[in-house]
Amino acid sequence: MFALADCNNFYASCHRLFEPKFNGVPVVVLSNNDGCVIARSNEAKACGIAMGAPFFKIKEEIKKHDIAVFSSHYTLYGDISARVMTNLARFTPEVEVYSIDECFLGLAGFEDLNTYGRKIRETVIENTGIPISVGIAPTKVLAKVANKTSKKHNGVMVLQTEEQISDALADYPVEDLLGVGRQFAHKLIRGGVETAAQFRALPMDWVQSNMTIVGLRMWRELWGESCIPLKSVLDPKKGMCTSRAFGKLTGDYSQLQEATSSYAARLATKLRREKLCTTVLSVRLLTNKFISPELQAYPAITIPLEHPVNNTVDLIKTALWGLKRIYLRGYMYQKVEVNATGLIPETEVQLNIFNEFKGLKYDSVSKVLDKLNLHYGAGTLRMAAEGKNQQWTMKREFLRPSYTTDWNDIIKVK
Amino acid sequence: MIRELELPKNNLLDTLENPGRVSGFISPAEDYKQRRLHIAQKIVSDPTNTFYFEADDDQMRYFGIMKGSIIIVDKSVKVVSGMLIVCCVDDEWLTRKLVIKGDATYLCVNDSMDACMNITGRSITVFGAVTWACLPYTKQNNVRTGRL
Repeated sequence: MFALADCNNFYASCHRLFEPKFNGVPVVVLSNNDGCVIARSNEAKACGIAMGAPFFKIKEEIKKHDIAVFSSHYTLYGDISARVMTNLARFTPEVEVYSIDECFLGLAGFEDLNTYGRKIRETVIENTGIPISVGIAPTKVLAKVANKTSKKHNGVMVLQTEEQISDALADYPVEDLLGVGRQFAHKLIRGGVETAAQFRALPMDWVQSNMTIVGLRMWRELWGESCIPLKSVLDPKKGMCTSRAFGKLTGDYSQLQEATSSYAARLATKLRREKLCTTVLSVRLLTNKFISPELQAYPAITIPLEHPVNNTVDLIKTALWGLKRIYLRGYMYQKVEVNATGLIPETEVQLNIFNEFKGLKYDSVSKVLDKLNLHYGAGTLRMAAEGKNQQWTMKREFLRPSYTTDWNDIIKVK
Repeated sequence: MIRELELPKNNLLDTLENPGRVSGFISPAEDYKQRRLHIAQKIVSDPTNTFYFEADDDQMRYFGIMKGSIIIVDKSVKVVSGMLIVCCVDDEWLTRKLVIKGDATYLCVNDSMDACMNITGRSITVFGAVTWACLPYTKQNNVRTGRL
């Protein structure tokens, strides 16, 4: 048996924990840079605020419904998520943290799952203050169905008998199944398959020939046959990306240089943290898609590297070289993306017989950089190319304190 | 599963990776090594569920909580009558002693009933039980007493 524990409106709940006056009122959380809505409380959904709605377009509605607005605060969410997951892991040795707010638990061998599910839910809510719901079923796909269904009940749902399962699948939208991407969903809905029950009723041969092995696994899981095991060992990463929108649109080349350098540096730090090297680097500039079409440009370049690297100097140099080639004057850019692909473990780097690798010196510079930044805090020592007065940094007008990660931000009580 | 406390290492103060590693004579203490005490082990028994607050005034001095005290809340501890709690009342964060007598609920700053606020029927948010309070003595010009 598997359980899926899912935090209800996770980002909104994190904020409500430290500002209880926002319980029961509409709350939205904005994306990096306060661009658009990325999380809504149930009350905000009821006000008709759409997921992904651009903030500037819904300002009127926010005023009208008196909706509380928060800038996203990933430091806070990350810490609270770790607390929730650690509490969940106290209930079983088999755990797969699936996302920042979802976790699969292996419950093989446990008895009286209704009571146990309720205990899991109550403990997490008491210990962390974050409401969760728990769905329990024989497979991961069904556990997700159970979880969604539980939200309409009292937060815990066990699907065990065939009757319980077919009841739950009867009006379950096919696009909400675990692992159904947009492509699958379109294909199915176009073919008149709208609910999970309809999908399950399709003949196995049809599923196999039309929806690949992934679709077949899902289909079998719906019949209660577990095909997707818990993933406790993670696959090595194949790619890594750093991108973030600027606080203000910019066409200024020197600002773009600073931003590109800064993202390349962050990418290099991430690569070293995971002990990986990249063999391909790509840089892309993006304009604001909400403005008129003639002002749009998405120039990009992909650069194969002579030698796999993860040191900051080489990556910044390469990224800036790429930026120079793709930069188009006259456009206002919103975003720069620096992407590393073809990642290989540091220990498996092969030397190239045609080229001498000159980066060894830079590798040791990067080591010193990491050590100092670990001790004195991120960003203490950085490359001059990243700029000193970064004018393109994030806009976070509605940012709350770091209640749990900064001693200066803990709440004062009377 | 309770994780062992990860105490951040301060390289300026903890200068040696392993002070017991010697080049000459093997230390006679080698076989008797034990982990040194750290106050965090006493105060934070479940770091995953521990949150920190800071006292903003001396209202709770009867219970030894003074302005500047760090208040430690372990949310995994069940709140019952008679405990100190951190709660939010009308958008204001308070630390108080929770007293439940029959059907009535009070928030108190000391043990006399005059010092209690009757909150029966009002909606408050209890954050959790206070398990410890720590008062720094070095940062004050005058060491104060908790006496009324």
